[in-house]
Amino acid sequence: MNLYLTNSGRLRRKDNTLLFERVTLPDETDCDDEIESDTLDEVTADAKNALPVETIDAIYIFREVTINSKLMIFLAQKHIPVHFFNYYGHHSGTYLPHVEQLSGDLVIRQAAAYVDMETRMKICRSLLDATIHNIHSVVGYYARRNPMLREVKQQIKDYGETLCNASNPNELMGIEGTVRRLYYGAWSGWLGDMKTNFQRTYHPPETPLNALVSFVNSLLYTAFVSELYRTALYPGISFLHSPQSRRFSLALDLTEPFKPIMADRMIFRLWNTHSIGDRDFMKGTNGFVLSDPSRRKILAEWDALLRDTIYLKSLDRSVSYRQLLRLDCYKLINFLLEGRDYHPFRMEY
Amino acid sequence: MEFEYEEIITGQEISYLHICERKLWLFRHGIRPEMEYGNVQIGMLIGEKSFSREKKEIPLGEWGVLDWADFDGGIIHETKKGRSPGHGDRAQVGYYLWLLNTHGVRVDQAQIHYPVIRKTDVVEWNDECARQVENDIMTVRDLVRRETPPPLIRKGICRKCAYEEVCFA
Repeated sequence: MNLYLTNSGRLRRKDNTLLFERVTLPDETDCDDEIESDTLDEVTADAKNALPVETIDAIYIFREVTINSKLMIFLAQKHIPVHFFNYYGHHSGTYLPHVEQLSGDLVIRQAAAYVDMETRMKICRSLLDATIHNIHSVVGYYARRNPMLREVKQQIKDYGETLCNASNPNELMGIEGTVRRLYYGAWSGWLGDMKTNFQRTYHPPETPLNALVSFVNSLLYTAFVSELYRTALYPGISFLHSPQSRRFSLALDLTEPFKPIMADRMIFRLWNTHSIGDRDFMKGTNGFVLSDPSRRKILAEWDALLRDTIYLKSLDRSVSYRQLLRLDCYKLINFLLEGRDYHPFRMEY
Repeated sequence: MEFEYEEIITGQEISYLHICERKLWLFRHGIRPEMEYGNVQIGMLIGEKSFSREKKEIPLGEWGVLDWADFDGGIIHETKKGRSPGHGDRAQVGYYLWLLNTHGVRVDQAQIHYPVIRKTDVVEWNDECARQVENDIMTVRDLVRRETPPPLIRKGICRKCAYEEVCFA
């Protein structure tokens, strides 16, 4: 179970569990103002909640929360990562305790797989194959109701088939880029309110919908960081994305197949049911800021999605979406250890 | 005897040898999903609750931990959560008997307690036991040296194993 802290306050270790003291701060009118930490530490809490630490998998912090070393050492003992988000809902960093499972052998194999272009291409192709397949499935789902989408659906499929001809990662990324442009362009086919084609922008996002996409993508990314942490894979060695791009670049790789079927579909549902809309975002100097109630709504939906289950034939039982992320990590491990075919998760609708 | 880190084989690993060779290989190579697994956490809890009166766990260097022991009587004890005697249990306690006796600690017998089914299994220290253990040690060494893990075979026990997801992802 994830813990999402959407209020400001103080998080402390108390005996063998966690204590969150909620402190209501004056409303921020301008995101660039720093709230004085004195206020946060001295003001009496509005509410104090004890939280059972054994059931917590990861902690997400969205507002100003004071922490101390006693707490962080305790969280490290309990193997609980902490993900920090800034005012704009942008993931600014993660505190990851010491590894649970150390496998020097696996890390060496990851590095060897990166250095050997043929192996690296195999992994990248598998990832993108699954990603494009999932994009195709999503478009297909909406094409059933909107025949105008059939053409772009076919185009996506055709481009997907050219993956096997690419000879280096740049060519692969080129194909992926083309497919993504087609995909984003098709969004107006089912996102009712759109008057023009969707343009994906980030750093900073130029529309509230873009801000929502960035936010939900970072929830998916941090979910993968948490799952990678529970495996022996080293998150710094990635194949598709350059290993220098981020500290957990392997998480960036592994999220690709899940973006269309988890992140995007949830966004479409929220947007089409008017659960979340332009009205929930405030324009700040560096992007859009979600209102607190809408942030909580999105987090509740996301958490419910992580716990939602589907039947998996290979295990002959139901698994949650969160377990699907972990299983994809294991698939990569099996590929690296014994050359087993690597097939990241594919969804059919 | 001087042991390098790689040379040390724990009681748990000897047990894995008899349960599943693939599990042993993965464990030795740092893939250890046990920490997340509900059944394993319950097992640790049962160990804590059942024999709390006696002297608690006795670590055996890097090789493992005895649940509890009665050295005056020459008996060591092990508690297991399972409903049926596991394949690896006898081998594991046999290993502990070997370790103790070859290091000059006289122990004649090992008792494996299954509190859930209220039964106890007894392993005697004798030449046959010693032979089996020495054989096991050699098998473990050879197995973990392999480049790739032993191939995947689905067995009935896979359903209850912490490595099920790793193997069948």
